[in-house]
Amino acid sequence: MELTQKEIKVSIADYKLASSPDKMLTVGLGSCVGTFIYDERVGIGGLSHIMLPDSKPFVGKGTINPAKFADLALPAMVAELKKGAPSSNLKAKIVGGANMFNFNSLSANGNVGQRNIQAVKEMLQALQIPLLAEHVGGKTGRTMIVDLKDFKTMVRLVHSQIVYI
Amino acid sequence: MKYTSLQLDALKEVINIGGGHAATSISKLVARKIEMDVPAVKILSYHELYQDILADNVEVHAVISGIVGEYGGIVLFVVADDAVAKLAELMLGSSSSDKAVKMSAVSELTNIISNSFLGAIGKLLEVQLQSSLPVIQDDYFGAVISSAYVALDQYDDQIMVIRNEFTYAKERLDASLFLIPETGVIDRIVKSLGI
Repeated sequence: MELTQKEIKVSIADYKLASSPDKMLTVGLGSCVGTFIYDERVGIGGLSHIMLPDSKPFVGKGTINPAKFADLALPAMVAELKKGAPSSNLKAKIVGGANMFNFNSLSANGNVGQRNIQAVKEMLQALQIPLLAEHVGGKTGRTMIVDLKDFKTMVRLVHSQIVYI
Repeated sequence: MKYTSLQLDALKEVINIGGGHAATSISKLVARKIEMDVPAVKILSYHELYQDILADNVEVHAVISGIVGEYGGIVLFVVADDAVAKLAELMLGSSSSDKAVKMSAVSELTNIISNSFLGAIGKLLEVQLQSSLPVIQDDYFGAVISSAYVALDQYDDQIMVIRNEFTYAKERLDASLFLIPETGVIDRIVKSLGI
């Protein structure tokens, strides 16, 4: 029986897990960051699409969706990955964190993209997951497609520019 | 975010007036009748926004201007490829193949739309509102819209989408105007309307 390759879409403020030979994608990463964490030997991976670096300022202000924040999403996703691969050898690739439209000149909130990249990197370090590749910063939005067969990550930019990391 | 349907209706009326003025300014400028649909004021999740209005992976021309004055926020004009050509043709009086010329015409048009939109709203609310010079960027709709809301501290999974759509000669111009106010602005608008 031939295995069909599914394409699993991860929405904004969400994360999902999948295994080989599936593909996962998340589209429209602007200041958001997409984090792909995977284990090559076991053939599993998770893809997260966070919007914000830190959940702490939002504690006590209504329900918190952990998948929206770098500080909560990554540990949660890694815990789920480890259920499937207890002695796992996880690696990561990250995409996104653009500063579109020079928003920092328009908002008091500063460069969210840069803060998201920083927060994801710190979280990966805390989780002791090596960051193998990145396509981050700049000014343009990105779409990220990961292939769980070979763990290649395709980054698509506007006007059909394609980069593999 | 909780608003009564009466408040949402009032807000819709404010936007309707703003959009009406914007449509009139373009009509005058291009000497042709540009109409505006009844505006949508809705509270949507990103998922609903991408499903109902425009998919997150669609490449759009986005023109953004900051709001300067009493209320903070941004005005975002999202234009599809074919609408850029149509709008530029309306502005220039002839079709141009030069992309820079087309984009500059659309950017100028947006500037006029944003300012007349904000001017009309400001007049109604008795405040000074203007837009800063527009920044134009081609990008994915999902990247544009989520980054815009986040940049303005709007972190909810549900966002208030305020949108006007324009038509020309009964033909839909694939162009939408989004008003993304800073936190608290909607409350102040609703309050100043006395509702």
